[in-house]
Amino acid sequence: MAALSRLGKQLTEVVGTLNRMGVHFALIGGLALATHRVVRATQDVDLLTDGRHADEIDSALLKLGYSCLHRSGDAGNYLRGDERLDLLYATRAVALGLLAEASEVVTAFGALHVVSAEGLIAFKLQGWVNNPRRGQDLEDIRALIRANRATLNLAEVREYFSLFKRETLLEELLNESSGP
Amino acid sequence: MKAQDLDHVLPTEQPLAGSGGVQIRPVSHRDPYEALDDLMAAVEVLCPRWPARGQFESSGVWVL
Repeated sequence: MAALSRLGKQLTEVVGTLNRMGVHFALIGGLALATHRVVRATQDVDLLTDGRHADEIDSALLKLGYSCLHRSGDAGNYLRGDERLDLLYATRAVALGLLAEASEVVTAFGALHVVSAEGLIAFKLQGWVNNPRRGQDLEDIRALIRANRATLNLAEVREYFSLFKRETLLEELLNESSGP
Repeated sequence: MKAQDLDHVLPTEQPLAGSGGVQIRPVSHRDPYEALDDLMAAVEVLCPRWPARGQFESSGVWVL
């Protein structure tokens, strides 16, 4: 099925390019929520990629007409018109593990790898810790817990919250989700 | 039909009014990405140009 939305067309193009390059990547961010039973509007494509391919990906995105707004060893922001593409580079054990374990999902946009619900919560938490004004990240964590409470690996989720020293926050969110 | 005739038709419990709402999970076998694509197509009609967004913070906590 051809994508109807601009976001869908953008995703299809980027996914096709990265697949042709043989680069391993996985959906994170608002698009990945759909795999985990949370569908909400989102403005940008967020991908987790292997940090070792950051230069190759950069070249490919420039050829597609994107410009690089920011790039560090951890992340890159790209823009084409008002189309945004954000990359997180997996370089540490946790992110590399989440990338390796990302499951393949057949979607309206083709076969995509998507990080686990636990991993998505971890990246949302990292985003919120780095910018607490981004309330959407916290809302997404809340929605992911609520929609996946029965199947979430809570031990794994607790490890991620411990990494950011936010154990109390997790307990609050779990209490909320078990309420009426 | 008169109002009093509806008494035997209407349920005696009124969960929406009585408890302020019930949670009903919609049953759907539709591809969630197809639903997202439809949603975004509608959103993009309403908001044809996205507002500018911030960049990642270089100095943030990156432990994953």
